[in-house]
Parts: sequence; structure tokens; C-alpha cells
Amino acid sequence: MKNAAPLRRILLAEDSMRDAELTLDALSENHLSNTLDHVRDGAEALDYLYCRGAYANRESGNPSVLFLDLKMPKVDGLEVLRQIKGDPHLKTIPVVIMTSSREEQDVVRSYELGVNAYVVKPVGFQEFSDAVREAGIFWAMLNEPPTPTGPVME
Amino acid sequence: MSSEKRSATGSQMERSGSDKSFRLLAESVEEFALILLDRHGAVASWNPSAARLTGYRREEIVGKHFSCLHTSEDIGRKTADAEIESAGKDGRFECEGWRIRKDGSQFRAHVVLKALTDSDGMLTGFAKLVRDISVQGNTEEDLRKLNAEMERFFEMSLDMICVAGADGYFRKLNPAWERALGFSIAELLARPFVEFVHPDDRAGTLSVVKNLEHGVDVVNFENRLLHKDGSYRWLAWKAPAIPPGQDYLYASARDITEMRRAEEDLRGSQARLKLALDAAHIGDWELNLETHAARSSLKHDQIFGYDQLRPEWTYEVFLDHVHPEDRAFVDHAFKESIAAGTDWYFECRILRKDGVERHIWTQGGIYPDPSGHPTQMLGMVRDITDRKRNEAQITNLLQRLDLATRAAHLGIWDWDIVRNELVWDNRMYELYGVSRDTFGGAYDAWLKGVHPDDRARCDDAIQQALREEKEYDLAFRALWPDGTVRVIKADSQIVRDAAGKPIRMTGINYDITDRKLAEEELARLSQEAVQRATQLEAANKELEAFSYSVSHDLRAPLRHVQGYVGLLKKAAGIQLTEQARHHLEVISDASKQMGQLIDDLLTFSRIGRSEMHRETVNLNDLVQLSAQALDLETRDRKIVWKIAPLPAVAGDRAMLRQVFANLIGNAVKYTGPRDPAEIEIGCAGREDGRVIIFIKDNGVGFDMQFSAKLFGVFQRLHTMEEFEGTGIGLANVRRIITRHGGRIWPEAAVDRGATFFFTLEETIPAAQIEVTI
Repeated sequence: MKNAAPLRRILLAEDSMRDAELTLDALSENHLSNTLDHVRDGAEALDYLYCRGAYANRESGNPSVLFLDLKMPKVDGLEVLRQIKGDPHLKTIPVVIMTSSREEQDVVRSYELGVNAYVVKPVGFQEFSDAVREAGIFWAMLNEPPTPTGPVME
Repeated sequence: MSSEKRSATGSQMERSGSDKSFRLLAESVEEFALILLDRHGAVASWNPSAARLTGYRREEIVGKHFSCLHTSEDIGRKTADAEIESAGKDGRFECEGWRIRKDGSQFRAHVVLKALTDSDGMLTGFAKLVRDISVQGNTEEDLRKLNAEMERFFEMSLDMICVAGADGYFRKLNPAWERALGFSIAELLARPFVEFVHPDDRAGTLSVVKNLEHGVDVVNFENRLLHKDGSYRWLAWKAPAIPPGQDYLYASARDITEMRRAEEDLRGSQARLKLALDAAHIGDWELNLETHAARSSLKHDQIFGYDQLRPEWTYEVFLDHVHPEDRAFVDHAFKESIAAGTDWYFECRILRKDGVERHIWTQGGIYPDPSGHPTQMLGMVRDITDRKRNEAQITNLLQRLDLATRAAHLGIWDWDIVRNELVWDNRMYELYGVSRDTFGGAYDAWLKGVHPDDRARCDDAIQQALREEKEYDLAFRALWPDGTVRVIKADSQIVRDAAGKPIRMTGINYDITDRKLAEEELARLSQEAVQRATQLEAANKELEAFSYSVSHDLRAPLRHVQGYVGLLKKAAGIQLTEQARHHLEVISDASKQMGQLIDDLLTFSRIGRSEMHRETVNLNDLVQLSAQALDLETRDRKIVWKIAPLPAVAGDRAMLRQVFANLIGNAVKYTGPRDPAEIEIGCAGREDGRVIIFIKDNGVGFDMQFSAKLFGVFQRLHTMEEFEGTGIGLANVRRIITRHGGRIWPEAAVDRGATFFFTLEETIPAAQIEVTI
């Protein structure tokens, strides 16, 4: 484990403030909440990843993991996923779909596009907290990413 | 008495009054014999000329009947009496004849007999003037005249006349010879006549000449004589026998070459006629209409079954040969023909000599005999059995063709392209809605029946077919005179001459209006079906979108309720009263239950619209999997499983898994109060070719009067407190079974357990499946 390296950011793309708050609460137990960047829709997520728009001046580098909701305004989660996995500089970012839906078509489509994990948000509070925390721990702390690559500067 | 008196008076007059003067007159006449006869024919007066002429002196003859001068033949014929009678009646009689002198020699006499009457007109006797004409013309002058006359006849005669000598040369020939044989008279006289005779006829000719010398007349002897052009002419001869002592012969001949040629022609014609009749297997016959006697040819008799000519034929014999059923009409036709003088013409059946039935054709015509009476019938007969048989076959074929075309509603047409004659059968008129009278029978007449909008296309198709560019195979509209429009389908074939020029086109038409309508209806229906499917698809899409929204948006608030209850408990858990904590628990449970409902509802909706993946599904595996999935619930319970081998069925594996999971889950759930619980799974025979599966438990059961509610969505027969559940499981099960073409039904009673039966399509029987449980 590389303790010296600072923890990389977790990017949460979620249009619901409530879900975002519940997610933050779940992650706070493992001190992961400070590393969370929250965007409200797909367009913002892409701006963040490409360091453009409101995020033009953010600290460079890809997030350790992207928690991606499917149903969002403007650009939906599947479209964001498609662009990430279609871009050589972004496609190594682990993407975890976190959604309310267990629709078969969403699952199939997500895996076709190269998603790393698909989590159906449990309705129960405890179950939800557990799921988010485990995903955070796994992808942000345990998973070893490939050589970090910077965001593409335009 | 009075006639006696008158006669006596006349006689007296003769002897007394004029006796002397008459004798003077009579004696002075030298050229004539002048004889007075009494009214009975006895000689009364005799002049010297009479004496010189007859040799009888006056005293020898007076008082004798004048017939003593007649020949014995005339005496036998009583010529004298006839002469007197004729003269007495007409006053005068004149004749020429042979008379006999006293010495018996004959002389040729010209006789004039004149009746003598008294002043009262009474016959008193006859004056007879006799002149010897034997020597008349014997004078030089007379002979010369006669010869000249003879010569003229000789020259004029159309017949050939000749005098030939015993030396074999012609002596004298008339000009007819030159005309007939082309040789001049001089040429003919220069050679022995036999040299002009055809070599083959010479022997016969000489033999005839011999006969003439032996006193045999020749009549109609025929031989050939050479013509100057090298041909031979046929002559027919007539010659009188040569009297003894005469050394030359007289003969006349006639050129019969043309006649013989005509005869030969006639014989040739007859031979050709016979040949023609034989070749055509026609027998000929003659019938005398008065006697009914008949004559026939061999061929005629052969037709009636005779090997050789039958000696006797009559009309009645013929009628006996006619088939009994045909006799009446044949006889009727015969009598009618004779009465009307028309031909006797008929076909009938006959029974041959050997009893075989045959068909004959006969025609007879009435002909006059030489005197012009219509007494003869000439005719012909022919065996037409084969033709009849062929006709019957053709008729039969035509009937079958007619039946076929009628059954198929086919119209047949036949177009003589060269003459532009179009022939239709009856069905064609029906197809075009026109009558036979109004149809023109030509190409344009057909085109007129075609719908105006289709005419150019039809005409093009025909012309293309004629040019061999394209088969004529076309559908078009016919426009009836009454405005009806029908759709016609046409097919045809073209007959071409040796040069490939189309000469005839034959084809069929049939009405495909109904088929067209059906096709259009079908197209309309399928379009409708497509529309409905599209609508259904759209509805499904909407439903999908709806359930997608539900799955996302309905669950999120529930999660938030629970989430914030959780956060509240975490933040203020210790300060909360027991009651407050219970309230939070209820909020949490309620939202959890709502989440479950939403999940079940989404599943139910998905089962209705998701695609079925049909495959062979081993039900034993499903039972095993379902039981394993219930491990958590069954771990602490005592359950007796009785599972019989199940067959493999056709169906969607995932859906059928849900059926077993649900029904077995129910069995486990509703046997909760039982110890031990008993759950039995097996087959219960067949229904409509499908296998019946059952799952039976000894649980709490239910009242069958509520069984109808059992499969409804959100229908429950127990409270949530008794048994958990959303009431959607059995609705799902029924939906799946129904989509598999089967049915499901329960048998149950309160506290006596429940059994669910359902049917599936078996693919492999249970006995053939290795069970791995």
C-alpha cells in the first residue's frame, strides 16, 4: 500500500442532493468524504473530467473512481460512460454505476460500454450505507490504478 | 236389185254405143296397152299394143280377169281387187309393178286404172292404161344421167365407199377416204389395200374378204387403217356378199376412231371411278324402283359382311340388314326421297352377315331410264364405323374439356390472325358481359370490351407476344356494357407458320375479380395488423418508459425516506422515546414494503412484455434450484419433500424458474404452521396433449369460493400479519403459464392444504430423463 501518496479524488455524478448527502454520510465513516467531488449532471461530469468550463482550473489528474448515476439532466449517465470509455485518456478511470433501477436493459448496456461495476442503490438505509462504503473503500483505497495519466488539456 | 239393173245398163252401154269408137282409139295407140275392164275386172277390150306387150291375143284374153297378168305373190295378196276397189272409190288408181307375159317373162309396168261411169254416175267399168317401163331409161342418155347421179352420191357420201378388185387393189374410192386417211386417192389406189391395214388386223381382214366371196355379208367389221400421219384410224365396215361370178366387191366404211376413243374414255372413267370407290371403301349399287331388284359391287357386299357377291339383292333384303331400331327411319327416308324425287341420304346401323353391328353412310340419287321415267336409283354405301367411333371419342373429349373449362370457369378464345377472326366459347361472352349477337368476332371487338385505361397495355402485350418478345400473360379489367368492371386473367399460345409468322393465337380467360378483391382485403388487413402492431409497440414502449421511470423515480423517494430515518436514528437515537423509535420503525417498514411492491409490480409488467426464449427446459433442475433458494426459510423447519421425476418441457427457462420458485415458495410459506410440512411435486396425467404438473402442500389452504381472486394482481387471501407477500406472485405465475399456452388451477380447502395444477408442452417424457437430485 502506498501510504505516502495522497488519496485521489472520488467523483460523484448525482442529480439528487439527498442521495449525494446519504452517499457523503456513508463515505464519511471511512474518511473518504473529504476526497469527494460532487457534480449535478452528466455535462458537469464531462467538464470536470476534461478540466473545462467551471473546472478549467481544477487540480489535474483523473479521479480514482467515478460514482455515476444513470438518470440525470442534460447528459445522462450512459452517455458519460460512453465518452469516458471511448477516450484513451479517460477510459482507465473505474466507473461504478449507482442507480435506483434494476432494469435489465440498463445493466446490459452499461456492461457493453465497459462499466467496471453496477450497483443498485438499496432502499434500506443500512444496506445503502454499506454498499456505498464498500464501493468507496474498494475503488478508492484498495484498487490499484494504472500509471496515472493527466487530464487532457485543451 | 237396183244396182243389178244399173250394172246391166252400163255393160250394155260399153258394148253398144262407144264400142266401135274406143276400139279405133285403142288400136291407134301403140305406146300403151289400152284395156277396158268391166266393173268386176274382166277384160272387155284389148288393143294391139296390149297384145304386143303381153303376148295374149285379143280373143284369148277378153272375158278373163285382168289378174292373169299378175305375179303369183300379187295374186296371193289379191292386189287386183285392191286396185279395182281403190279406183272405184277414188276414180283413179296408179301404180308400178311386175307383170307376167303369156310366155311367163316379167316386165315392169306402169299402170293407170280409171273408173268409167254412166251419165247417172254409176260405175260401168274401168279403163286401164299399161306401159312397159322395163326399157325406160335404157337409152344412152338415161344411162349417162343415172351414172352422173350415182357419181354425185358417191362423191357426197360422208361414209367411205369403195370398190375393190380380186387383185387386192382398190378400184374406186370416194373423196371421204382422202378426208379419213390423209392419203390421196391416187396413193390409195397405188398399193394393195391390205398394206394400209394395221399389221395386227390384216389376218382378220383377209378372212372377212374370204367370207364375202363365200356369200356372207359383212356388217360392222372393225379394223385399223394407216393414216398418212402414221397413226391408225378405226374403221367399221359394211359389205354385201360377192355374187358368184363377180370379181370385185363393194364396201362402205365409217371412221369410228373418235367413237372408240370416247368408248375407251368411258371405260377409263369407269375404271377410275371403280378405283376411287374401292380406295374410299365405297360400295356402289343400283336399284330398280319399280321391281326393287338391285345390283351391287363386291365392295358393297363386303360392307354387309359377304366375301363374295351376293347373287340377289332387293330393297327388302337391304332393309333386313338394317338394325331393327333404324329400319323405320331408313324406310321413311326412302319413301320420302322417292315421293319428292330427292336424294336418299342417311346414316344408320346395320347388322352384318356375321351379326356384327356397323355404321354405314348411304346416298342414292334417282335417275331416269332411257325412256325418261325415273325408275332407277344409283347410290353408294360406306362403312363409317371407325369414323363414328372417332367422333364419339372426340365428342367425349370435348365434353371433358367443356367440363374442365366450366369447372375452372375458363373462357376459351381462338384468333385467326391472318383473317382476323376471333372465335369465343360461351363462357367468354359471360366474362365480357356481352351477347353473341353483339360481339363483332374480331380483334377490335375484344379490345372494345377491355377497360379503356387498360387497352393500350393489352394491345402492347399482344403485339409483344406476336413479336416473340414476351409471353402473353396478363391481367386486365373488362368493362361490361352495363358498366360492371371485372378483372380478367389471360394466358395464350401462338401458332406460327414455317417462316415463323404468327397465324393463330389461342388462349384462355378467367375472372380473378374475387381473388383480386381478396388480395386487396388481405393487404388491407395486413396493413391494419402492421398498424396495430406499431401501435402496440408504441404502447409497449410507453409502458416500458413508464416502468423505467417507476423503477428509477419511485424508488428514490423511498430510499430517501429510509435514508433520512436512518440518519435521524443515528443522530438522535439515544434521545428518542420508545414510542418515537416505534414510529420511525413503522416509517421504515412501510417504505420498505412499498419498495417491495414496486419491485414485484415491475416484474409482473416485465413478464407481460418481455420476449420468450423457447428452449427445452428440464423441470427437475428448476425444482432443485427453487428448493435451494429457499434454504434460508426451510433450514429450521421439518419438511417432507415428495418429488417425482418431471419431464422436460418447451418454454422460457427464466420464466418457468419463476413459476416453480413462486409455487414452491408459497407451499413452504403456507405450511409454516405444520410440523411436519409435506410438499409433493409430480405429474398428474395429461390434458389436450400437455403434461399436467402439480405442487401440493398440507398447509393452511383456502376457501375455494375465493379461488377466482387468487390469480389477480394484489389479491390476497391472508393478511400481511398472517403471511407476508404483495399478492402479485400468483398473478405472475398465471401470466407465465398462459404465455406458454397452458392453464393453471387450484384445488384447496381451508386447513386442508392446497394443490396447484398447471399444464406445459412436454418435449421429453419424465421416464427418459436422468434425475440428478
